[in-house]
Amino acid sequence: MKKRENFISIFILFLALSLIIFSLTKFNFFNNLFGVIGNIFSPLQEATFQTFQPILNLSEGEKKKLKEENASLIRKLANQKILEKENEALRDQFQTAAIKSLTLLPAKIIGAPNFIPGVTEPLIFIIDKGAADGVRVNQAVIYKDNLVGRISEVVQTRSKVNLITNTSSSFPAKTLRTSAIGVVKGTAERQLIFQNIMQTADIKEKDIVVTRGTQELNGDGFPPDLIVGTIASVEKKPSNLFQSAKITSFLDFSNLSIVFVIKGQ
Amino acid sequence: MIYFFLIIAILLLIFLEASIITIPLILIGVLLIAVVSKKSWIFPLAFLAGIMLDLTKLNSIGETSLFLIIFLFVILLYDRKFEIKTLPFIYFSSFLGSFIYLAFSKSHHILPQAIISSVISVFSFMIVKKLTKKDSKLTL
Repeated sequence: MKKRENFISIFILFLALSLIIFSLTKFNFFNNLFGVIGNIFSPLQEATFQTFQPILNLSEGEKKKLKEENASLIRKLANQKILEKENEALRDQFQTAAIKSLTLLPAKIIGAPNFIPGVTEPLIFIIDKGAADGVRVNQAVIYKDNLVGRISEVVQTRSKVNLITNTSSSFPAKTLRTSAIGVVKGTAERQLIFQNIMQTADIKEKDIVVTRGTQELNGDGFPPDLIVGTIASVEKKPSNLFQSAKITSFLDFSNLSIVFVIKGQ
Repeated sequence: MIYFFLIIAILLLIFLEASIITIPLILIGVLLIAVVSKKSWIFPLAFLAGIMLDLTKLNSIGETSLFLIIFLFVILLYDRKFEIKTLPFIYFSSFLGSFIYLAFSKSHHILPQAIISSVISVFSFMIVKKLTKKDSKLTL
């Protein structure tokens, strides 16, 4: 009987403690305290990630090199097309165009939990930069002009990045060739869905998709013309109001170790 | 000495779950400890492990602790009526616990992850059972 009472009383004690801590953190109490405690474990978390990530993501060296080279060429092609369009706009004087400089903050990835590392795609990153470095929620995260995701949680020295592969990720985008507008959504896989594209829009396989731009005045949000990926297949049914496509990102999210947070202009 | 290794193992599971893999390793760990030891100190251990996991994963602090404590309470209540040191119990409790935990965390591939975590639990339990049988001094 005594043992049962101790069991129940200990359970109630820790249940109450958990509830109190959970409620108080919702109101941002203990943020600094938990931030400091989290910082103590941050190097251990980083060490675990650095140790296990290369083991679990064994890629053939040559294949990886070719993938990176391909991504680099696609990026150069995309930048060239963007410059061509901007030149045309300036010449026509119908649009104003300005090349905006972006402040980039490099951040190391210290956590990328994944169902089967190396096989499935991670849906979030934990990075080693936080509020102390000027990181804010909704800032865009990129890697070599490719969109990686958006900051979703920030503490003092760490942040959580919601990747574009996450099913909660959704943003407007357009094709580079014809400026066909649509919405990109994550599917928890490497392929993304590009949907809500008008039936009359001209899209085809291998078209490059870039962000349309959802930047706010303070610089948060996705700047325009960040590379999302390339169209792998198009689904067009005359009976549907919209057409859709599948996009493959150029990034191998499992193999990234560093990303850049766009801090605005 | 055994408690020292236990703490190291729990810490390793926390960092693995926060950095590399989404399978609920901490849930498996505390379930096995609860089933083998059946002691009430599992509650403070689960509480602290949950807090640390939330800190490293940048979740709302306390949500994992809440879940683990309630889960362990149900497990230990079940122990009052039935025998829990059996493979079927380990399999089903870890499957259900993982499934519910992953659903609450809005994870993906919930069903395959729950199946894999229950398989890991069963194999880990078999190893722990053999170790505790071999060396009677090795008790929690």
